[in-house]
Amino acid sequence: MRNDVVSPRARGLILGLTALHGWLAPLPDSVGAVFLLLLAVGAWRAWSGRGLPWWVAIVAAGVSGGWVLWTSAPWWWRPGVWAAVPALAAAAFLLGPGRPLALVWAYLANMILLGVLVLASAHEWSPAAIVVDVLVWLLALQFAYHPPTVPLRWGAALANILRLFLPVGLAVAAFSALLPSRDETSAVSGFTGRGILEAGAFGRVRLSDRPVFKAFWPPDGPPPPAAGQLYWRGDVLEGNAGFTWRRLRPMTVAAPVPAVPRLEILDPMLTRAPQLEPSEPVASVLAEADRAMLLEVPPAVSEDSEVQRFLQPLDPMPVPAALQHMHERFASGGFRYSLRPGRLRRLDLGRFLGTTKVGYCEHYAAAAANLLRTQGIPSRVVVGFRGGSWNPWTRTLTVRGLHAHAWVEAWDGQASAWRRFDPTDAVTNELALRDEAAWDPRQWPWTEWMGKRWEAIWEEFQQTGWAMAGAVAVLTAGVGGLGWWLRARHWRKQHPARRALRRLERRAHGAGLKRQPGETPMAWMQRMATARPERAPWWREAAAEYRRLAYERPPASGQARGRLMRKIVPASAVETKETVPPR
Amino acid sequence: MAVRERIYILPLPAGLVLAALVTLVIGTGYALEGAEEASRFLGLSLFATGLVVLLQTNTNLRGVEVQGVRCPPIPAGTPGEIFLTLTNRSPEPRTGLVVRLRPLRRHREPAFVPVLEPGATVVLRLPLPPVSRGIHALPPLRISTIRPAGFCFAWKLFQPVGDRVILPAPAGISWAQRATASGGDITGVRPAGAADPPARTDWKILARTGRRMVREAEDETPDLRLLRWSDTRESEGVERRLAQLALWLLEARGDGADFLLDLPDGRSPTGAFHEACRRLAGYRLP
Repeated sequence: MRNDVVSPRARGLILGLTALHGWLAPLPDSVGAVFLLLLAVGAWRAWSGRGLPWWVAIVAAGVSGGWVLWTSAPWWWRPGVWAAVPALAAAAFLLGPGRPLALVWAYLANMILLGVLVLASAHEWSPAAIVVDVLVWLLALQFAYHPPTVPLRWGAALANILRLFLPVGLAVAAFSALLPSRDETSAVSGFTGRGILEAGAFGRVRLSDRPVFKAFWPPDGPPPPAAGQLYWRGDVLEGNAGFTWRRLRPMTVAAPVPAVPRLEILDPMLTRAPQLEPSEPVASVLAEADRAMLLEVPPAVSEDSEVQRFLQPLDPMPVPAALQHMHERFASGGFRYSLRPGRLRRLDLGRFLGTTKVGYCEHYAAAAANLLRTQGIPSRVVVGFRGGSWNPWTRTLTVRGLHAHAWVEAWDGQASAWRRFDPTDAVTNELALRDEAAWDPRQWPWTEWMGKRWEAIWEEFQQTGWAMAGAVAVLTAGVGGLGWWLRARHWRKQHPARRALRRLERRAHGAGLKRQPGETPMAWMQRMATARPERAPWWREAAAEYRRLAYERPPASGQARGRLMRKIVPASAVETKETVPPR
Repeated sequence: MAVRERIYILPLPAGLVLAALVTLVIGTGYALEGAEEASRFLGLSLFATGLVVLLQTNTNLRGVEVQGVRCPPIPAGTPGEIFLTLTNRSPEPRTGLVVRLRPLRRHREPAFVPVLEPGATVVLRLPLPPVSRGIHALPPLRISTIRPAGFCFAWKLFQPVGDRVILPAPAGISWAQRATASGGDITGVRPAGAADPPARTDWKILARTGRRMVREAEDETPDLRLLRWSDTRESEGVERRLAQLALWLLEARGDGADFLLDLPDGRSPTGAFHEACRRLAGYRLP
């Protein structure tokens, strides 16, 4: 019913909940000021029992939202900007005349705002908080949509909601368990707990996209290092058996760890929390007893002719130079990266270096460590993870099984530090490209097509300047004019009696003679005639004319319409603003 | 009363927006790293909200029935009214019910029931557009609601049993003006009407002036008014004769007098107003 109204209490409740959502949202200062201003005007309107015309609310929401977007470009990955639009829209809808429909749209805007809040800070929202918020809003919406003349029984309403919500929620949750999820944990993490890296173990791990752990960076802190520098250190393997490596002793990282944010381990099989490696080598100490252990190479490997041929040109040189040389040998040696290299046995290092030349990080790390040891450089294999999927909204890095990685650490005696050497980078740039793609939200698949287009549009606008602004203005005016024309056409197509009634209602509303919710036009006019005896003839005549126009005259009769308006307008124009008792 | 408990339901624009929001939240959560769990929780909560509202809107119409329909006979060409007795047979109150007649294009004025308590009954009055003489079927009814949240539109249809009796539009001379055979003191003359019997003609005046005048008598009204088809033979056409009889019938009803309608196809029982109305409304020449 168009003449439905909501009680000021219901309007105030929705307004308060909107303010709470706005307080939780990371709104920019200017947007926050506009938001508060709109809410204050809405509260004053609710308190005074009046509202602004609907088009003022729409224009207020459109102008403020458009202004925020316009001044915040590039905006598509800023959660504060995304939150601003629904927050402003919700506040603008509360400026309206307090109809239930306006509150429904305010509710929807608030749910969009809640979605932005949840997406922007997922780790701060517990499922219980989300469900409670949704339930509170549903209850508030039902309160707003309840007939204002009948008091709402809150307990019964809540019980009624819960009675349906609980079984429906359980059914939906059971159904959702059948949907594929990328957040499921898995027992496959690459760390078996025994500290043994079997030949070919990483191949299975890297095919899994299930998350292993998440790292949360503080919202106001510095961003994480570049994607290529994100090495998550897991186990250090020093026992060399060709392609199979094992942990000989528990390793502790003596170096100070960067200010890594909180970690959340999702894979219960992960035996230890990974640590983010510093980007620069950290000074350390290597005991002589350890040096001998770190130079052990299986005889079958060191005496392999292919290994000897691979090492032949290498002369003793400083460790950084040796690492660089080995990088070049791998890069130019015809090696290929593949997660399905075929079966390689434990001591097939020679065959790998000379014949197959196909493998992945585990093979290249094992081969490089063996080669370095053969050259007299103490080295070891480190397993862990590299990179991760960065979410700038939540400032969360999700590391999955596919990020499992192995690399080499070589002891640099001159610098007294372990140097990281990743031979896989010499073979392929696939990992680096993947890290870059996962790092930059503009390269995410879903933003690639959208974000780049917006960037192109924005750049083009900046280049063309005012010409583009003029075109946009003309386009906007055209769309607005079209909308206005469609609205006028719709208005013209309405039945003359209805149009005349709308005009009368508008005028009567200005005089404080509102039609009550659910009151039919005839009943309203009769009530007016009863309540105001001095104007009774006017109202009776208007009611009779309305009845004739609505039910007796052909709708196209402009003469009849004009007569009704002439009868009605003086009747309402001379009305003074007085209290008329409701029916 | 034929009751159809079948309830239809469709989403309103706000409901469609809610559905789009659910899809968007779940899809965006899937696209954004690390936010899938929370967004899925929110999306499913909103989905559950939509289902709950769907069920509540559907339930809000359960047990609401049209107990009775009354449509008083009215003359042709005048707007009529239909009286509905709406009752709530469910144990829960029903809110925001809108009752409209179909087709909606012709019946523009709905009745709104803000709340209907359990077991309560409310009488609604809906206007009807004017139609021609006859016995018409009552239009179907639609009871709808968008409560409690405004996301869905649910409705159920009723086909009321009964009909709408539309009398001929009353016209002609009144019963008081018509002279009857019962006699009485002559109080004057007046121009003759179509239904005046020739026996009341004042022949002298007719011979002198050429105008047909009839004598009027005082206290002519007998206890039983005989509304005879044959008394209207001076009127031209069936519809005019029926209009004359309708006028006398309504006058008798208004005066509280007994009457007997005598049409060529039979007589109605004495004082049976509705039976007489039906016969006048549905009369066809044998």
